[in-house]
Amino acid sequence: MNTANTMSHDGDQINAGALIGRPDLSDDVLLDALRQRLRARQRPETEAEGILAAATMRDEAALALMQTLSVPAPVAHLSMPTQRLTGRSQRRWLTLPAINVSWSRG
Amino acid sequence: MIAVKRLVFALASIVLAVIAAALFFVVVTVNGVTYLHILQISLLLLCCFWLAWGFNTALAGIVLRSRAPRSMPTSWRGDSRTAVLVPVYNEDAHAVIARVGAMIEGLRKTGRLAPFDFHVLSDSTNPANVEQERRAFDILLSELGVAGHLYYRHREKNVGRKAGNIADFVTTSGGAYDYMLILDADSLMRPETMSEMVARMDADPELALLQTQPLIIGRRTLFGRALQFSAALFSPIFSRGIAALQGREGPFWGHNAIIRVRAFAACCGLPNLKGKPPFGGHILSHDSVEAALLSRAGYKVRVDPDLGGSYEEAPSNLIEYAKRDRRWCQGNLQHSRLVVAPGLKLWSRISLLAGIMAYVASPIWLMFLIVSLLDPVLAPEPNYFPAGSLFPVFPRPETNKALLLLFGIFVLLLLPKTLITLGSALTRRSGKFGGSGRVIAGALAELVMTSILAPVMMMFQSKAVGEILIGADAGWPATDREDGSLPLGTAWRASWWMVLAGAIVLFATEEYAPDLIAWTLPIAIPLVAAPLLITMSGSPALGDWFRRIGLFATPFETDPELVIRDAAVWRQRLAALDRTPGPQNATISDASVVPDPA
Repeated sequence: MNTANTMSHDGDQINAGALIGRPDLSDDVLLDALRQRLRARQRPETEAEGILAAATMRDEAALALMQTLSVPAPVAHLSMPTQRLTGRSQRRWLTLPAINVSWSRG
Repeated sequence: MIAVKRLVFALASIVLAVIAAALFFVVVTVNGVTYLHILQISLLLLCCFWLAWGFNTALAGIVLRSRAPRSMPTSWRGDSRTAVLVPVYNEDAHAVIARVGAMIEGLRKTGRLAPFDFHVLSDSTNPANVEQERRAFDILLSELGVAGHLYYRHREKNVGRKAGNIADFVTTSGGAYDYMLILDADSLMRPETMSEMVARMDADPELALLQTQPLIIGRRTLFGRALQFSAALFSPIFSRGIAALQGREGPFWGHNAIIRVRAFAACCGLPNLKGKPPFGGHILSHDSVEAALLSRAGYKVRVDPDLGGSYEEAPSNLIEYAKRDRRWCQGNLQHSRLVVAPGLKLWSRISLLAGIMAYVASPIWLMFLIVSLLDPVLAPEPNYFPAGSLFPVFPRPETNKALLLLFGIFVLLLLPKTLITLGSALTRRSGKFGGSGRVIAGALAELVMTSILAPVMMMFQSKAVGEILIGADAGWPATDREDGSLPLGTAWRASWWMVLAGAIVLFATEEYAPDLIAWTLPIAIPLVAAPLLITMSGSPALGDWFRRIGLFATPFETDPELVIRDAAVWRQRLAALDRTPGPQNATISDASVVPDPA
């Protein structure tokens, strides 16, 4: 989603995703979300492109509708390396026979 | 300095326990020492050590004041981004989303929404719950118009339970944020507190985790309101005690805490433990382990008790409480495999052990009681003519020492709460609870109620420990926090075995040691009456009556702050806007999820 589209109006480059604080979103993603919202409000999905264009021209009604869109969460991967929590020292510690019974299960 | 404080704390606990055990030794061995006495004294030593540990924590909270970090100026504006995570698991979606709505609205009103994004992370397994969550989310998004600040995600497979849910977020979206503020489905937080937490994280790059002290709100039943009152009155002081000794290895209670995302990702990838549950598999009580891992990596983990406006709900009856306890008990006992994990700081290990002891203490008390009841039955007759003496030698009376021991145990049990109650009743703090009289009356009523319910709790916890030791897994039942009434039949199914145990104790004592009957009544009577106690304490009507007479009033009930009021308004609003019927709540009435020995 980092390949955000831009829309051109009167020579200005406007990122539609930036209207909702998500410049990383492409127009296709926004249009999908718009269609979903229109469907929920029982309006024709074909209005989506027009509304997106109107929003980039700061049309208040279109901007208000844009603010209700359910868009995907930002994607920015982090790795979580598995930590070492058990080791040899644990076995040395497990010397209580009563507890060994339960810990050796499975 | 912190090392000295901790050393004094630990030594004081040991000394108190040894004094109690020594007194007990003198009292019980007056006719000679048996193996049963050795066992009895060892069990009492452990029990008193744990009592003294709690006593000293409270005393540290009363006496020691950790320096609260300076608050950021109200004009502070950081550029860090924070994800507010709300994990959901088959909870009431309207209630969960209403709380999210109240927090977003509050942040927007204070002009601080921009750096916060809310993520509802659903692990729900019931399709009806998932549908209700989606609808409620959609309504809230539509009503508030906060696209780009509110997200919903549902996992089809809830691998790793809640820890897996958070890990899934971190690995997918974590890189977009500096911090994540982890909430529970029942959490609620004052917007100013959320901003303050971010500011404190910004101010200290070494701080990886900042925990708040969540207080209980929204309870209606007698049990829930007593819990709520107790938490409001006592918890802030207890957490000050924990804070006074935390150093860089503070606690993490799983929610209502903010975490540096990259530090968490680098240090907190949890392994699956070898073997099957309950001791193997996923790490259930992941929070303490994550705190220990962050400390191991050199980061600071801290609880700041001065951070107010942090709330949660709690089970509204004993059965739900026991269900949650069963899960936590399994998680904490699983830590017995992790206490010796390589590289952990000593205080982290001690915290893990304290978590284990919180549950193991109950069966130790139970064993102590059983051994104490067996003692007069199995004890040898006094020997009045030792070593062929012509004249009788009478045992020395040790009544004074016995009374001293009893007094000491009562001091350990009651003094911290008494001091906190008086400290609150005699200061301006009492005003928040409706006045000095209500603080004292509430604390007394809470003491009576917890004393009556203590044997029932002891039995539930002992059963939980027993089940885990024989290898039974708790699974992952959702916690029901709704204030529904609890039928007597349900309470009976959950506690008939306690009735049986209480009756056996009464019969056996009357038969074999009638002199001890008065001592057994405070334990046996609540056990025999367990179903009735569970039903009565879980009654919303009784809770309402206590509320009407002003007992167990808390500041958040008498004068709830804006975010609490807003959450209630949002809940009504969502219910009005979402006309589709929600899922039936089956957790209380369904006996299959009730703790039962079968």
